[in-house]
Amino acid sequence: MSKIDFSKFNYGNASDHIKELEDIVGKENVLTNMHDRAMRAASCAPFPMQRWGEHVPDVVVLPGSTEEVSAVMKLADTYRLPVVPRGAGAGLADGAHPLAKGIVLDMKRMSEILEVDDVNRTATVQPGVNMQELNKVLEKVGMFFTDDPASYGTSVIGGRIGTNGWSVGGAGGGHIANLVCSMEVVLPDGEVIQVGKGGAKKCRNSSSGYRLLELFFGHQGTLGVVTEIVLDCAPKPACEFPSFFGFNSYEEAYECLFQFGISGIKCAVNYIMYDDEKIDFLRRDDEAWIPLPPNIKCAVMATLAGTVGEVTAAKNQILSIAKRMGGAYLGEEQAWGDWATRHDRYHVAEHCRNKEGQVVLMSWHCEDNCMIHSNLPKFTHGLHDIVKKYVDKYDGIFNDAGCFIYGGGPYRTWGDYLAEVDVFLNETAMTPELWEAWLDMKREIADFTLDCEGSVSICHGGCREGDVDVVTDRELAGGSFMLMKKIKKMLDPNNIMNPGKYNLQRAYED
Amino acid sequence: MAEKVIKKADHYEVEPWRMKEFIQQQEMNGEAISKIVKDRMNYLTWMHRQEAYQCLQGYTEAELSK
Amino acid sequence: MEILSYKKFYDDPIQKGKPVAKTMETDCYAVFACRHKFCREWCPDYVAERNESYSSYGMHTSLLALSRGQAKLEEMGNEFIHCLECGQCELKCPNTMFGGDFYKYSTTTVDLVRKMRRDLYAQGIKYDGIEEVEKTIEEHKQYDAGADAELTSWAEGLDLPRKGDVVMYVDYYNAFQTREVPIAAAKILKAAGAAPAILDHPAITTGELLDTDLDAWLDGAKRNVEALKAAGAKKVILVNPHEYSYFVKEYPHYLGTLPFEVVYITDYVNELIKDGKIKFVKEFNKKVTYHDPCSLNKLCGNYQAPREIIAALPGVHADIEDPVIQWKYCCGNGVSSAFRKALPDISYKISTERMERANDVGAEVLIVACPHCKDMFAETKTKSGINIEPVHILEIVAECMGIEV
Repeated sequence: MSKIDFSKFNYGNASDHIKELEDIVGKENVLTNMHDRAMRAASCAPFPMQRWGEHVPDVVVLPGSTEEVSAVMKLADTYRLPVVPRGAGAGLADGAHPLAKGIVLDMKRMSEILEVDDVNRTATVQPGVNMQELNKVLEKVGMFFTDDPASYGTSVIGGRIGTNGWSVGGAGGGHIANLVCSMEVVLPDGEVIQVGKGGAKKCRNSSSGYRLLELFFGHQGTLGVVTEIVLDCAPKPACEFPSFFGFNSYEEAYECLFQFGISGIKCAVNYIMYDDEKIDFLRRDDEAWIPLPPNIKCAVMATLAGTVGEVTAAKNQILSIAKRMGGAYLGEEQAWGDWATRHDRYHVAEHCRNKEGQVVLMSWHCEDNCMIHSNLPKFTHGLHDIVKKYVDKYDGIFNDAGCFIYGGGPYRTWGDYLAEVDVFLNETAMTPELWEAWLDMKREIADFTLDCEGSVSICHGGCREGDVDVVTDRELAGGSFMLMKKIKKMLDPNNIMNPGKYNLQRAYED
Repeated sequence: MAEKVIKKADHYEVEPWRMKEFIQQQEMNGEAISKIVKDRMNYLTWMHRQEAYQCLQGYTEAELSK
Repeated sequence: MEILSYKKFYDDPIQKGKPVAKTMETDCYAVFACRHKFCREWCPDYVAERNESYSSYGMHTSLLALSRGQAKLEEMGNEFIHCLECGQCELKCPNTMFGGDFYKYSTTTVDLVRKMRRDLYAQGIKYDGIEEVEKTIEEHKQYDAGADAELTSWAEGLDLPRKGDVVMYVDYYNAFQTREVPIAAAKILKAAGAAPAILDHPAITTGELLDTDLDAWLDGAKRNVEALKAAGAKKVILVNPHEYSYFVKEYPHYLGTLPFEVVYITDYVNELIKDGKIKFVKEFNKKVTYHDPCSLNKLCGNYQAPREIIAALPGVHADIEDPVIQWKYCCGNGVSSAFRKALPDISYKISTERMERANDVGAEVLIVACPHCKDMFAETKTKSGINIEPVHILEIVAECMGIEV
């Protein structure tokens, strides 16, 4: 993605409006120090450290209410100041990564749980609420919010909506897009609207009007700022059961994954396949510290949750299928530990090695492709062919951490998967040339995904550098990107909301 | 394991030669390591409790050999 | 017990105009590389302020930005005071929890914060509110320069020897601010036939000094060790968990293995209860909960003995939250009281939040095992009117033993 020319948008300088911003949110909630701004240049996606300064916002604003957000947007719209909303900064598509400096609108001060309704089974929250913290409150009334991404311990509801995130529990409990009844959104001009299933706050279904709630899932902060959300909450499961089966080959594991998926079991949280390269990677320093038998090449995890009766019946069925497919049960300790670490396992920077075997610190990235079952083997083998080229050529810069293959969901365990290849990247060693190599890798992966009839992104978003051109010019070329541009220009005529994201500056080309 | 690791009583350790060029090991004694192991186990136990009222036991030998 | 986990290169100061060393840049990158910030939602300062600058991630990233020319050291005066030094972030970080034992490399935020407070202070880059901290340090120095009798005035009438195998180290905070704590400890131990010796003249090793002047703090530490040796100590009992964490972590780091065993008062009392040397004659018929001191639970992994003591108290109905849940809690004082002095409003907010959690479990009494927690909660109760009574565990043990404190 070449540097975008924003000059035609005649942006003002946010630094000229500090006093007005302080009048809106309070002096202590407007941050101008370099380090406060610099740390908000990055989301969780690989960061171009070699050009850090280009992405540092001019000012950080921490609003505390819908009224403050609306006032900031009105000011920004008046003076044409770019605004980038920021949740936890845990997104993996660079949604919160400023491309035109301006204001980072850090939403985390708005973190109240406003209401827990244990009769209608909803929770009304502000966008800065984190799911793990929400569940600590919900469990007091036997409720559970099932959104369960890798960032479960840190991401916030507003960001989950902005990224249209995916959940490892989504095959059982739905993804974030399925778990919102309604929300309040501040539009780029400061107008405050309610969108939901129709106009109801707590209904889960309606046929009144267009499905406008869905518009704001995955918008990556380009259409407005979410300021209040009504969430759908499930009962806290009576029990859970994780299990891990080892296989002597990819083919056996792949077939077992399919059979689990079409088994008709309704209480699956998800089925997860670990391919050869993933098992090899984990064998370096398997966080459960339980060595796998050497003949095990791949593994499939089956996790169930629900009533004791249904989980007990389902676990018997799972064992029966696994045995039939040649799977070896890897023991209770492995499954217990691995399931509980599923969020944290990505983040140990020391997992990576150079050719010599030295530990090199790298940052995890996940190419979060969606792939249909029939093309899965060709796809994951092909992913490794691509990644290995770059790992071999650029020693100590990239690592291939293997593939996880998760049931894509929502509410189903068959059909398609999050078929992610985990690629680690050494950001401190980045140069313009190495960064370009990284983008080449991403472009190759994105193109290959579409060649295999998948989608470039199942959960993070398609607006990352390297992917975005393939997404807008190829994946969404059938009309979706054209509609995106029209909607963007209609709602944000001055292009102040996260400008440059998703190539949406093209909406304003004559 | 894919690499040779050092096996200790309650944990494994990386071969120290791998931590020479880019990052070096810090001073860390047995009690500090035991604390890490204990904190981890406490945290994982708590994680399971947060997600469901109980975690069913793994398959028994009898179930596996049927 | 000595828990050693530190990085030698932290001794190299970060200074204006001096490039940040590669080792420090790499160390900060190890935290930045994660970016999933598991530290954040459990950080009491972050929860109160919702400013991600004030989190382990924020602090490490600030220094990484500095190393890359994207930050100015002179602007970072307030960056590192926003930390309770409670240790939650460094124990929870995946680098520690899931990689620390394997790689012998972990996140060490508390050390980083102490180092940065010192490095900035040395260059005249001060945080807002530091005057209160400087005042406290001066006050302690006056006590240190003064008469022995003043430093041990809390022990008047207790007839505690000055030599013995078992010496109770009583720090300045207990000696002057919360004297009922060492008094209760002494009376309990005496009644159990285990009267400890005390030092004539303890030296200063407070958190405020550790944050400001390492050399002065180390002087105090060395003096304490010499004095304890001279008193004949084979076992040293601490009654302030902050000091306990220093004796267990910082003293061995800088001075080598100590020539005596170190034990916290709750472990010592618990053993006396189990050995039948402490007998309870009165009931404590209250609904109670217990607050884990940060320095004991998070910094030292010590949480069992207070729970066993409470379980042994007659008449008590206890509902105590898991030590893992309590990683998120703090009384608001901070392991260095500098936090409370510089940021009293945030301290109050954090404290109120913790007391409300105690209310949620229906407790009438919030049992503490730390003099700072006791003082902080007492102040918060007065200011907020929250209906729960903070009481030190030793006061309840004494009451159940029929001892008047």
